[in-house]
Amino acid sequence: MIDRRAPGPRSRRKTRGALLGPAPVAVAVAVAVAVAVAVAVAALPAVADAPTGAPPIRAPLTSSVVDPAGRTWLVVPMGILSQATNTFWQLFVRPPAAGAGWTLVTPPGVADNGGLVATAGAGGLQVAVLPSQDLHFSPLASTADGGRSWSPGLVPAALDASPDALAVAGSGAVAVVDGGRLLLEESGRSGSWRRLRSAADLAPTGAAAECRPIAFSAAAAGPDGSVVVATACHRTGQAGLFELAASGSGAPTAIRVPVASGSRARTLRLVAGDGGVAALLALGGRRGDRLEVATLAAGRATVSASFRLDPGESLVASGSVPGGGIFVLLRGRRGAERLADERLGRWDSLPVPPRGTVAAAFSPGRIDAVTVHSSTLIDYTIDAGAAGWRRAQVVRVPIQYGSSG
Amino acid sequence: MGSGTDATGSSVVAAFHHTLWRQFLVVVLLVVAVGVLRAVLRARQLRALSAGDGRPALGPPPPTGTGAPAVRLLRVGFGLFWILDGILQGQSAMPLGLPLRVMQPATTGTPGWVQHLVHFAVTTWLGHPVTAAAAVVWIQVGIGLALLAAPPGGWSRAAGAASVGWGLVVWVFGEAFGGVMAPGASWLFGAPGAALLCAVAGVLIALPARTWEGPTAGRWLLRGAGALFLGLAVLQAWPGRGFWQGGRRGGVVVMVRSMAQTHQPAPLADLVRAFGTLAAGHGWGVNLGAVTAMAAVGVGLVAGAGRVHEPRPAIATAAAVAATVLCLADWVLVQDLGFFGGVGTDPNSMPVLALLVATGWTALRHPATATARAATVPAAGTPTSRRSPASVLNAPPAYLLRAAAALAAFAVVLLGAVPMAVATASPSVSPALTEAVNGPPAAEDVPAPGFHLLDQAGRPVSLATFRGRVVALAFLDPVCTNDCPIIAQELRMADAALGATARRVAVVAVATNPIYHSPAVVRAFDRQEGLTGLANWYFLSGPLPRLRQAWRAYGVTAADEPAGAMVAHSELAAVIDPRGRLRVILGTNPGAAAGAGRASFSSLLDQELHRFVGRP
Repeated sequence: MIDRRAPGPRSRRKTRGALLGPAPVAVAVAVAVAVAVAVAVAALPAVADAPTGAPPIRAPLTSSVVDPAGRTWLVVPMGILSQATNTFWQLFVRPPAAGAGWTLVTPPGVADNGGLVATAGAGGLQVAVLPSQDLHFSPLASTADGGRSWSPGLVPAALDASPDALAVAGSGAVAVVDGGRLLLEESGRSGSWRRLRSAADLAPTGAAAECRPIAFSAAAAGPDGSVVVATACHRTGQAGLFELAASGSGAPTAIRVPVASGSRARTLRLVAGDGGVAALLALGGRRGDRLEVATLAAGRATVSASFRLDPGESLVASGSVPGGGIFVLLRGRRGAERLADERLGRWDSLPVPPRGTVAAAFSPGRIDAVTVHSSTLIDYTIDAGAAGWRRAQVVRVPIQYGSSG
Repeated sequence: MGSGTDATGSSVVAAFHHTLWRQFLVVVLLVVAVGVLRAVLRARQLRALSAGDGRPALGPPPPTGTGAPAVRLLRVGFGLFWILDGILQGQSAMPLGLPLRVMQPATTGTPGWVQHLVHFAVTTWLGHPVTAAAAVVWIQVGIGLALLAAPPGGWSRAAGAASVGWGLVVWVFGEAFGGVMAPGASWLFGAPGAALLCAVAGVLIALPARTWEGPTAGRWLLRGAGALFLGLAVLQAWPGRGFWQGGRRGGVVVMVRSMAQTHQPAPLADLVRAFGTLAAGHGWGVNLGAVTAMAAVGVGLVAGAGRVHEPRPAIATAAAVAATVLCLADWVLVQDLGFFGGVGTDPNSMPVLALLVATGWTALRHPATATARAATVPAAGTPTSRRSPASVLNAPPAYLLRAAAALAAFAVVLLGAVPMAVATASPSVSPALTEAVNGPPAAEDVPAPGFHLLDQAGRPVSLATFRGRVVALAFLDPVCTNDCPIIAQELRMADAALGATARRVAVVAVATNPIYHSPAVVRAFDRQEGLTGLANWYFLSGPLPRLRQAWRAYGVTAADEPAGAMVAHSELAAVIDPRGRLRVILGTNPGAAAGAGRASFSSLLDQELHRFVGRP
């Protein structure tokens, strides 16, 4: 019997084999290398997105603020910082009395793994808890007695992860929510919030046309019950600062800040102080990345000298300086920190803070640098005129690991 | 807050064992049926032969013979592998442990679409954990038996095809693509995945018999294995992936140490620990050794396969032996044999890879002959369409037995697959998961404690408000970040499942936070969870003393925790009948399966509510 099917395929295989024959090893190696390269490239981490031209520096929530009563408040993350659900943000307060230490006063009743935003006003301190996991709105807590007792409230939307997303303004508060798309206003202390303005509303107005706002990034109490807001701008050469009237009615007033043509600016902080509102600006352009502080008073903006950032340097913490001004704690590519503050248009560098400093606080007559090791906070202070930092206090925090899942 | 899911939840384990025993009885019946079928066929065969007119009427005999040696090796090896897999799937921890401790962790570091895909499988599994775990047992045992028993030819190729299909299912959903999508993919730890290699073996078994004539198939198999080793060597050597690093954070060390934590015999654990210590001290050297060995084996396999007309048997043999030794060394020193610890699902990839290399070598050195093939396929010019089903009566007795056994093996596959398919198609979900976390519902029959609170609109509400309706009463923290939103969704699902009867049910939650409990906060929670439009939903708040009274009455505790932690409160729900009597207490802790198993509690609650809806 003749197998009529068998010869055909065999002869075709021979032909293919003859064509591939000379270099099967090379072909196999090339395929193997290509597959390995493809898998390795696919497994590389994605590069973080950043707007073109804008300096990549961002303002973290770690910050400090001095309230009108002279108390210094410090917001700092603790726990296992590499795990979102084991990172617990803490609030510390130190009374104005000389020699007083930090006390843990984190508001109870809600998990704060998403972060805390604190804002000081004449009535005391208001703290918002940022959303985390399945919580999508922001509980509030306010204290008028230095953190001994807290009153609950809420922002009925997701507060932005910006240290100035909440501001005490007039008798109520304003909040930047929903990724900067909306500005909400609380009328009085009623706990009832209303929509004040959206970034889209702002865009077509005359004052905003030059900026073409993208989203709100910060808010602060302005003069006469007004609100100063910062927005990210589509256009270069714009700082994106506006003043909204107390009632929210009327067109916003653009606050003109001289920014070098072609530079892209981002407002990192808006801090209300005795001398007006101070805006910490990050600028990028031909002159490299730098920081400047614009002080807004009486409808005018005065801009400080520039503070040049080293390549790859990031902002670790920031806060207000008593008497007006802003300080910044920066970390370089190699992990070394530096601390500087701006007052009256001038930047001053302080002695290098202890290795691993994650936060700082400027109080009347005192500067603190803080390191955190899981549940332990170590406070260092520097005496006036001294060249070095000395260890002042150790606080152990009873963190409830695993309580957030 | 949650106590987590106990992978060995006793109720689930008991149900799993019960199901397996029941299905095992069916398997025994199948074995008996095979014997009977074989006896009947043999009797008819003998009758036909004695009558002397059977053969022409029955057509040509079916294919017989043993098949190519390489395919025999594949079938026996992978048949045993699938049976071992099936037996391992019968471990008590599998119904909950496999999805939560194997499938979900396998997605760590993989792209979002892989996580979604596996999450879908985990959710489906957790909806019916007992049925799913039993299904996997029988599907794998059935495929293994089919590979071992099926006679060569169409039966064998069908078993190979089943192995391909199931191997790919396991590779995608069970192994998250064998780890190749994760940043730390490495041959040492099992990439590209044992299930993928099983699928490859299935493809080889399913190939036509003529493929195995001559050494060509063996050459290509060795070349493929060689290319795999070379590619994985490049991946292992790729800088920046952590494998060159020693110390505690070295990629090899981290994995070896995690393997060493698995429960296993002490001598084996000592070996793994010793290798971990070596890798920690000499990370660079260990990785260099691994890369060199893999590359050498790869080159040896490719070179040994030779050019089309120039096989190099000595090199092929040496490379195959080296590959086997390397695989076994990795299997013992890094993969710790792969199947200890209660949720080990298979012996990992190394034995499988060694078996594929051995198959390539066998096909190269002992190819099938045309004579052998003639015994396994119909003669040329004899179209298979001319064979009637009755032609099986022309087959020798051994063939009859193997064909009947293969038929029974495929029936075993269906024994697992059909109940799972039916369960997946059903809208209801098994309450097994929530019972594993919280225990079974506790029956009560006492007057339900009263309360006087405010609903989300600020209107006064008491237990009497709901008289005549069944009440599902839960305790929720409106600013909770994890469990309570999940419980709220479960309540919503249970309510939706009630359909028209929902109007005879009130779904009530009591704010369980000593600080955040105002109507404004509960309204914000309602908006967040999409509960505002639910007609029979009541989220109660009120002054703290009244809330505390309600908590106490139902045995609920709620305490502030310091330092940014959420309020710790009891997680329970109660079912109150229309007469106001407390009938059932259920735990509401979603456990570790919070994301994937959220339908389980709602299913249980729905069952309980249905018991009391409509009672006088």
